[in-house]
Amino acid sequence: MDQPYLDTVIYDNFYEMLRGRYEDGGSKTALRYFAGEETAEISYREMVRQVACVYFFLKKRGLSGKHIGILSENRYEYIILYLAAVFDCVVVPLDKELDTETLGACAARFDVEILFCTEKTLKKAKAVLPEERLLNIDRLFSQIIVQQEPVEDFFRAVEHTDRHRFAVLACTSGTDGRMKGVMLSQYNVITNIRGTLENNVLKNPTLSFLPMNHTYGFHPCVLATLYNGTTLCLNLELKHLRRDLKAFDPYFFGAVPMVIEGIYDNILREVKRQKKEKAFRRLIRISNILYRCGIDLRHVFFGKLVNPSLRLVVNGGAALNGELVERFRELGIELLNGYGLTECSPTVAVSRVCNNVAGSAGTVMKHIEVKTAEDGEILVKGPCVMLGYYKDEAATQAVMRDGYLATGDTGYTDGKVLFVTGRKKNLIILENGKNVAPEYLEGKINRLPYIQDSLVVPARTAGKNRILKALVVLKEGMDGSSFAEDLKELNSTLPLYMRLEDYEILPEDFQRNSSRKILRRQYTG
Amino acid sequence: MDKEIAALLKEHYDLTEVRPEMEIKKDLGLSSFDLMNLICIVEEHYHIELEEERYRALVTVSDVCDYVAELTGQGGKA
Repeated sequence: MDQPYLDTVIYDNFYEMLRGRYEDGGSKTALRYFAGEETAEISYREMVRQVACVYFFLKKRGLSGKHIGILSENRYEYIILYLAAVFDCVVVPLDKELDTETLGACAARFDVEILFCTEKTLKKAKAVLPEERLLNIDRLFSQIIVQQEPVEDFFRAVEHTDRHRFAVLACTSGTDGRMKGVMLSQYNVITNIRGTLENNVLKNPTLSFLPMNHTYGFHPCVLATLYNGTTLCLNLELKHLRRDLKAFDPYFFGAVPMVIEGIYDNILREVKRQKKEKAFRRLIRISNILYRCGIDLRHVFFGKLVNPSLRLVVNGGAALNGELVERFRELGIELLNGYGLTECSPTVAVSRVCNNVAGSAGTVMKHIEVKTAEDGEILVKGPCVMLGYYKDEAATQAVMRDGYLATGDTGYTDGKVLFVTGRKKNLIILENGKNVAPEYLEGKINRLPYIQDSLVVPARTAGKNRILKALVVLKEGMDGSSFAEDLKELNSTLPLYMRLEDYEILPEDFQRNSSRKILRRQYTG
Repeated sequence: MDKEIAALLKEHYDLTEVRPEMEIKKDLGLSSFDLMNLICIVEEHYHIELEEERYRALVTVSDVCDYVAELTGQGGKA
């Protein structure tokens, strides 16, 4: 049964959020991060003061209405800059991992007037825009924030900003590698982050480590915490994640499957290193029995092994092996799956602690309507849906249907719980008229412990019959000699038309786009 | 240097055999996430900082050893 959504404070634009946090949160810590060996903290009041300084800096530079690119690694200044530019400018977060050619094309297509960069991204930035249009955060930021700009003046200036105005231009890459600009308003973003808080309670503190240029890394993983008035700890480099997890001991973080699986592998490795595998397995069994009897000692048993305060981990960006939900739950951590796309700011659904359905993509958030088209495509309507693709009316028209955004994904809902079964454009149409979502089969293949990743593609036999073929990449150092046998076993559980009749073990990883998604079309011909 | 780094790898990743020519991902079975951890472990051990731009070039154990030697000014293979 669907549980009621949680109540949360209502902010309908960033002015209301900043004002609310400035007045209510005042001296509370907004941001915490390592500056060298020491931790640094910034209060909500100081954060808003810095936002005001940057806002007036942009205004005085004549940048109101202009598109402001950000090419930066994760750092607290990123957040300040975003919150300052979102009122009068258009924020264009760019991916520093992209090559200069793609970045240059994005900057030109998205009309980036000024690009904020850092010492680390300066070289790349110079290849994207002429030097006079670059602003180096490392050299400039400290000068901007020493200005004494009255916060009240800032509030007065931004109070009546149109919340539906185009304010963020988020880049999204299709699996064909072509970048599109997704136009979002303050209202799109703020109602979306509020939705995540109406699904689950966020307690102090949270940790952010995903790239801030991604809507998933920034909106639910950074802005939701600030909306909530809790403390956001920043992991500025992934290599320090272990240190930061220990030092900040977060209640929540958002992650992607690679990190979640990596953390679980580390736990098992640590147990093995301490030669406590048997004791660990025994403790899991005891803990599970006690939990079923209503006695929850999971954090007493496993708190030191994981993190004493960690309770929530949200997975996004890619589908997760559902089994991990149970493995994390045994350790006292709810692993929640989320589903979204940049065009929806990005979250559409996220699992709830009170209703964490394994294998689902989560509970559709409040104010979002999801229905499925006749062909199974997931259609989304709500305040999170983008204004459109930048300068691409044809692409916008192609995905908007009577106010609903066609996601390109197929699935169904059970009450408010969403299940994603595949991507429509990847559907393989067989000669007998049957449609197969390759992701469904890939999910099954990927469960084999030695498989890194897989693709199911249509192929033809010598007799020109259309068949399904599995392309697989093995995990490093793993032996795939039993794959033929395992495939036979898998086929025995599938409907006839879905059987995989051929396979190939690839010597190298699949070709991927900048978001690490497989360039499927390179393999489907 | 090689021996020290091999010892670090064995200690933290439960490996029995580590040779300089071995590839970190392919032969030792470490994931991208593990590689990030390894970088951190090496940095803490030698009190150095590896540049992010060089991470992708760290394919074999020997690549790590050479880069660490470059940063610490120590050479010499075991």
